[in-house]
Amino acid sequence: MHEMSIAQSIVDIVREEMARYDVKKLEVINLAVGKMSAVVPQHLSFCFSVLIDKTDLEGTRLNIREVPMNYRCQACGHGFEAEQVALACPACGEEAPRLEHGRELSVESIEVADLDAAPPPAQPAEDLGS
Amino acid sequence: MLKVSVVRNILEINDRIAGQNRELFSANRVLVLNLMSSPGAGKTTLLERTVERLKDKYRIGVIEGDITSSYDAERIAQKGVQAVQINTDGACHLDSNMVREALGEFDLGALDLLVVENVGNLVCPAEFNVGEDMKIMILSVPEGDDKPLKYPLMFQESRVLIVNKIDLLPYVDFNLKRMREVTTGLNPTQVVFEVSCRTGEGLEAWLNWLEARIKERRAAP
Repeated sequence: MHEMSIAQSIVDIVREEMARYDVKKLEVINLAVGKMSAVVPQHLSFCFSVLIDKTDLEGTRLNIREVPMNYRCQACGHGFEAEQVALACPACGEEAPRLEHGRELSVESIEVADLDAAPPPAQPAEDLGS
Repeated sequence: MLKVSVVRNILEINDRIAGQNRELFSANRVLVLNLMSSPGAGKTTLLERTVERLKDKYRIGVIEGDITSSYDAERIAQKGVQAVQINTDGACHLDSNMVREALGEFDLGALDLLVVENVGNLVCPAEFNVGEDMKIMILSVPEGDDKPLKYPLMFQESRVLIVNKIDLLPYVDFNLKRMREVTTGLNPTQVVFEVSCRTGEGLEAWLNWLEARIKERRAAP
């Protein structure tokens, strides 16, 4: 139900990145959306298409990678993927396994159409020196 | 085609403002609760009972989030504490920026407890921090004991679960034990209170717990 706010945040982030790299036209925005996050990919795509209609982002495709829920048992260390919320470890039965993946909600990358508009080869400033 | 790595959390802007709110709360040693539930579970009624009992000992402020209307803020203001209404105009949750704007109405230094009553919704508010010390959620008995499995994020994020309307337990198929099995699996350290805001049953334990948290907050360096 809050997909419109999420879509607006995506547009804000992408515009910042486009300005940073001096990119004029985008092809694809790659997102990671965890299964545990309260976001429905179909709704998000719809809200995004409404927001970018008749703007410079029109035609940009939203590519959503759904991240399954991955748990790790805090007793026996067993790691497992689950379709539904896991309340106990399937290996040893210990309650409350820790959710390691499935809460993701991030812009992972953008794909630029025009090679002339490609970013400089250097990494973003904050990554330098790491 | 050229791929540019970005890796930015979509909620980072909300989280950044929430962090600023949190610093403000911390500097003023005010305990801030983000109160969430589905519509009609009893958020405003719990607040009325809480304010009635604690307002003579502590200085309390309330932010009321609703899609429209100022009915809830008026209910709380009648209890003699400051209540500020936020109308989200259709949005299904409060975000940190809306709360920041409402904070301008308060003298935070003159408050011990600030309660942010979120928009009635078991889904969206769980994703948006507003700078609170803790999330408190209410599940009312008529909603059914299957809700933790259907809305796991809210139950995972909430430090406290208040099960309200327990006076209705004899009339509905709500199995407290079954619900607790699920909530323990989702959130083993969650504090649970079983109450009826209508009869007052169980409220004492909640109020004592909350009072201890307010004192802790005042004493924190």
